[in-house]
Amino acid sequence: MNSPERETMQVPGQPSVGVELFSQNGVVMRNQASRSNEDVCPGTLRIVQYSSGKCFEWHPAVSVSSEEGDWAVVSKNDSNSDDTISFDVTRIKEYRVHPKNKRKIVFTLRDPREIYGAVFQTDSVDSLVAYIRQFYRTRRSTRDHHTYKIIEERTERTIQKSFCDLEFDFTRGKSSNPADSVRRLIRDFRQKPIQTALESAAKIADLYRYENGALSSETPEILSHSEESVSIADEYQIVSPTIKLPPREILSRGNPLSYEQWLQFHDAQGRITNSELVKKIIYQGGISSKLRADVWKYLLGYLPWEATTAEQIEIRNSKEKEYNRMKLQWQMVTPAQEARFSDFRDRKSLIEKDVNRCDRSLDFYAGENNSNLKSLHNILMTYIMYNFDLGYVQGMSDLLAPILFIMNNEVDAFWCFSAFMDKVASNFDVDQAGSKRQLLHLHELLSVMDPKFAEYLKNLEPGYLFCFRWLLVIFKREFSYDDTMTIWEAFWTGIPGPNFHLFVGLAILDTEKSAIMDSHSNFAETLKHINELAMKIDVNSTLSKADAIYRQLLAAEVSLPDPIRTILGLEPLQKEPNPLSDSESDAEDAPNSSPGHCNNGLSQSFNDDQFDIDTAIMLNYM
Amino acid sequence: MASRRKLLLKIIILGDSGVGKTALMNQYVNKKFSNQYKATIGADFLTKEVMVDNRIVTLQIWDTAGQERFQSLGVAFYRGADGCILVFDTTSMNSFASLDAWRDEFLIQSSPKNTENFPFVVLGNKIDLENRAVSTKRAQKWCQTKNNIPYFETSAKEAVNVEQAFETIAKSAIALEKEEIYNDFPGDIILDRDNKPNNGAACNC
Repeated sequence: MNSPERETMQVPGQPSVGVELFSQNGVVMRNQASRSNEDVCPGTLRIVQYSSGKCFEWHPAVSVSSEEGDWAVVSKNDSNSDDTISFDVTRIKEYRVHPKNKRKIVFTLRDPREIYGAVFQTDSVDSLVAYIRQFYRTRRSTRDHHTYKIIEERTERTIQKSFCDLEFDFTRGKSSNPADSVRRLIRDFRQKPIQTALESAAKIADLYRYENGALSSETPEILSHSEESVSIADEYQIVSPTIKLPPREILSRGNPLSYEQWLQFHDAQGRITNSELVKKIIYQGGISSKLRADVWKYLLGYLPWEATTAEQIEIRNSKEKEYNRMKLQWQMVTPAQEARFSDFRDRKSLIEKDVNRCDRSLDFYAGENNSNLKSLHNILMTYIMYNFDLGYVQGMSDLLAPILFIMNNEVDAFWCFSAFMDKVASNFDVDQAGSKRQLLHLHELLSVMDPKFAEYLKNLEPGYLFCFRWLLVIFKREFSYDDTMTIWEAFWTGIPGPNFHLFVGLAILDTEKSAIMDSHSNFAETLKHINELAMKIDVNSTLSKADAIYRQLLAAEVSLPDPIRTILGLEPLQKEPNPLSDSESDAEDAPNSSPGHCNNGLSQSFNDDQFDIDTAIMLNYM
Repeated sequence: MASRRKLLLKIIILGDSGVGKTALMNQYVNKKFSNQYKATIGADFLTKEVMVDNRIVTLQIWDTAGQERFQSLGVAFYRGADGCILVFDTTSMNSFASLDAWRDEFLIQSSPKNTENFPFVVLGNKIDLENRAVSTKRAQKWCQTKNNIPYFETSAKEAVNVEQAFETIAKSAIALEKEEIYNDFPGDIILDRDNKPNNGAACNC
């Protein structure tokens, strides 16, 4: 990791003499990229000017001598501790001050394995930040308003440059046509007036500060009074105007659809007369378990609500024929053909493996030679023939097993399963685009509901991935069979748009917020916590809360940006693409959308440059 | 020497779907085996504290989904790994043939500092079953060609060689850890013996 030129400058036993530029005691510092639970004692953070450049150095206050083997480590400051941290300022890629805790700062070095977090035990990190900004030109990251990239060391020339960056002073902007600058400025003022004005003001204040030492006392006051959402403490961050949500209602679940009710909804020919009301009852209270086999067929669209009894029989017969035809197709593949058909073989082998370990603790699937396992296998194999492109992906057996359990019939289970698959096919995309998009949507919704919590989760690398299992199999692994079915029924009604499962996710996150945030959980701890909730979550309170959150957002409908409206299943207000969304994020969107995708064309960023897939779920790791 | 500080080692278990990754992890950490493991969705991990070379070490063992489709997701979990356990099923030639891809993918995605000496172990699992398809010799040969990766034949069901395999990966990860402590100093480090710390601690295999 040593840079060659520095090494050559060093003479053994003669540490180069540096000038201390900055020093702070009571700082805890560690490399976050390598370890997460080391005990680190506080120490001193310094910035030292050597002949070769400026260097960050941190030494623990209590010197722990290194006794490992017979290597002696000699650092510049004669500290023998291998707990010392030291890096050139030029190696810093960016730094981030914790948005809520002004005593925390994180330095990300160009080498991604080095991420140094420092906590100042007594003071805020402002003095350090002011120092950095005095000597280095920084730029706020477009992805995260709390992150600043180190651009270059300040010289006389860079000060000039900063002025040009303002695009205020047309006479100085040599590279661009003054007229263009005016146009650009006017456009910016028109599109985002507050932001443009404030950003410009902030830049001036910034320049003023490093040239003259400090802001005049009234400047911060003027800025803070000009707009509520501007916070000087946050380094001039322009927070998007918070969407005011009405108070969340406390709702209770209704009763499940009963046999008597269900009978009343049938007309003389067997049609279902008021399907909307039926759906509403189901959304609010579920379906009594004996009715599920019957009602699910309508709810999933296998049978049309308006079909008469005679038509139902007809549909049922033709679906049975179709199923058997497709089933025969794979059953006809001979072992010799199979030997030359690796794709088929691989899919078959995956299905066999997963069928053998699908809900075997349930009586319905328990024991050897269980005929229900055979049906499970047959349906999944037939689904390969029904949807060649998708084939079989892990998780599908989880979606099928409860359906087969309810239907207890291969043909009906197949068609209900394939209808369910139509709703969630994007979960199983080859490139995981559907799952990624849903994780992003979850983040966007949470950003409206609880911006602080959303910010916290976004910063867990790799982001919201701990919710992946929830969304892939629509909470099948988190709840008992019966509870899972209640969630699925509500989801199938489509009442709160196509994304009710995201509201269920929000409800669980909301319940677990303090457990996650109060303990400052990192990604691994959060994932563990979430995974361990399985079979412990109360379904009724979760569904009521999910509905309450949905209503809360719906009540604030007019103030919601279009991407959020789309997630809620509302028409976007603006038909045109959002002019503020940047073109980069569009490129991230999956080009090969499958028909199962919902919310296509949804702009990925909804407030200037705040969100894109990368930041929400750290796409670069996926 | 008593342990100076706690050490956390992140170990990733990789291999095809159904080779027994979850079962191995549970056998090692909880000393239990169940016939009813479900296919892993997403990822999970278990931790275990062990004493290695007189140090208390916390092993954080990550188990991810084995289906190729989810590989792009698993990658998010590889980051910061200190060791990798490659698992195949001794009754499935395909799962053995996949080892190359798993190893390569892991090295590309986690991009460890020291690709050559990165700690791996290979486990041929399910030796309690009779329909063996991959011979010991063949597996050993593959391991030899990959810079002598230690090889163990295991049974998660009958707890054969599981403890030994995890101990081995913990030890090699610690060995690499020590090596990195010396190699990794930014700035000026003078080593009093010679200037080639890389020669000091080659792999233990």
